[in-house]
Amino acid sequence: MWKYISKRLAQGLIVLLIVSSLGFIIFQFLGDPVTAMAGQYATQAELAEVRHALGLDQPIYIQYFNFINNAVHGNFGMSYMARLPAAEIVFQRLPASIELALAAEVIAIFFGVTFGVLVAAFPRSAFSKFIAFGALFGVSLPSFAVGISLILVFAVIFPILPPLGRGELVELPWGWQTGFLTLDGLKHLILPAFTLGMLQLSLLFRLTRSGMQEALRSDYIRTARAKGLGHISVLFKHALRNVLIPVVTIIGLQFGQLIGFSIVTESIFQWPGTGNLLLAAIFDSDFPIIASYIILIATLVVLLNTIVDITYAFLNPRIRYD
Amino acid sequence: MTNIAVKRNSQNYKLLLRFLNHRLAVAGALVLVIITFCALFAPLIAPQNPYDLTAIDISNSLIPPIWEEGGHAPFLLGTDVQGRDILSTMLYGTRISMFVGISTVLLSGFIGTTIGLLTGYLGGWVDMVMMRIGDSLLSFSTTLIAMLFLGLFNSGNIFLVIFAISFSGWVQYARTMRSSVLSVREEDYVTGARVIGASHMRVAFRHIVPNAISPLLVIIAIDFGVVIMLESTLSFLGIGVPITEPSLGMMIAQGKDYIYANMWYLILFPGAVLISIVISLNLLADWLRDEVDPRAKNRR
Repeated sequence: MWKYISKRLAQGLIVLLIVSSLGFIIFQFLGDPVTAMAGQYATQAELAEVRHALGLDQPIYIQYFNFINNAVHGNFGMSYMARLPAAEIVFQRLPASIELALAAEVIAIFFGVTFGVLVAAFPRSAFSKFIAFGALFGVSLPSFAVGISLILVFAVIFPILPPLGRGELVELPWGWQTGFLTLDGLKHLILPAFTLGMLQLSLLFRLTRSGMQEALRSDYIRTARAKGLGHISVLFKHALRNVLIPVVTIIGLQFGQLIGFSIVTESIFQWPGTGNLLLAAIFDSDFPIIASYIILIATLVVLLNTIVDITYAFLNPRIRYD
Repeated sequence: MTNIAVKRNSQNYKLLLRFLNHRLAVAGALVLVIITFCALFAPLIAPQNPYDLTAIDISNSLIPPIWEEGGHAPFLLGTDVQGRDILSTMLYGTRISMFVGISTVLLSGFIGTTIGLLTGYLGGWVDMVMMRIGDSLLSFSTTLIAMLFLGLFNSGNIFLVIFAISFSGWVQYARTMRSSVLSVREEDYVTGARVIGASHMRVAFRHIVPNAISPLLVIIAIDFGVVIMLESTLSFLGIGVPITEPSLGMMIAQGKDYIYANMWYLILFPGAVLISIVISLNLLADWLRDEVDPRAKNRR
């Protein structure tokens, strides 16, 4: 067990090291921060001054050492555009992204699992056919198309929900600005959260349905029914419990995908999160921001995957390397 | 000889019958054939060449479809912001989306099957390292990797898009191929072929590959749809195809700013084509999966 865990942790560290080296390469070889900062018409002396200020006049190995040293201390250099520490800017935007991802995940799990159970239990009802048809659209619609359609229907044709921004926020004591506590904030959350959650909702629905279909045919369900247990109790307590393990795994493994689509969702709804920040940084060639974002996301993904794998190994002792 | 030919024909005939009985798969195939035809012959069908700057007149911008008030010939589905005929731009855009889709599936399929064949056949540390790399790439997801990759280079080059998606797109082909190889490798006919003295190459390509093809077909059908969606998403974000040669996703991105003015036609038509392509591919993939693995039918 411990051998597996330490192997898994080592693998995660190797991935992080590779990603951070990529981050350094981005700094080193892409874009020209000096002209970006000093302007196109700067003199040689001005260029040299900026280069020195950024530490770009030192040998590569010293720059690499500085980069790794700084990265470990959470310092990824100054944003070329905002002239503020890049990591600080990214962290400032993080609460918005986390709240959106959380809301999307809750929607996906609640509707995906509930629909999956219901459709498996009542496969012939009109509701089930409708949901199964909807799931086909759910996996066939790019999330930007979902987002735009939602805006068109719920903000333009029937203007009942706000399409842009986060709305009214409340600042929590530790500096976290939340939209969960005001009605306006929650209203602003609905459309983007559904957009981001749609793909995962469809995936979780399909997974739960097929798992439930298999479970409902099994002997222990027949036994439970024979004992005279209620329909609801059998469905949710006996069958669903065994289906949830792969569901939880998929949620962990799909995290990277969720981050990717959060970039799209944030861009459509002007959500002031990290995804939107990344897009702006891409168009400004603001490489410290891009590198901070990549390293932050990589750390999150690796951490989550490692946790999922280790939890899974505890739950199912047959899973091992080799 | 003739007997075998007849038998094979009747098997194909049965397959055709099963296909025709599957109404959704037939509908999907039909839609795909029509869209592919339109994309292939876009220059002959399109009323206007949207890449020819001299043919575009900016004073024709944002004309609604012909049946709406203010719409007029020759702009059947209206025009976009730059005065390009929407129908023509769509025909050319579908072409680009299909080209990216096919090229990416070919590239990542080629890389993936090669790696899968090698790792499955060789095993050992090559296998372990490649699969760990694959796991790591998958945990970041193809979507995220392609976005970051293109974001760094931000050059609007169509071949860069193909490369960016293939960068991690090969993994699922490799996994499928590898598991097929692993299950086939121990079969008696493979051992037999080795004993007779067939070379590794011959065993790999004559005996293993043909038996691993059918699960790959399902992956191809699904992946094709996924790649087309991903390309449109990247172009929607402005980091995909060049702005002068819009794909379907970029058309939707350009129309996005006008939905508050209720100019739905800018996004509805390209969106409908995009969704039709992906849904058709998914329907075909569902049918293929049932054909390849009949047990899956009960599982779904």
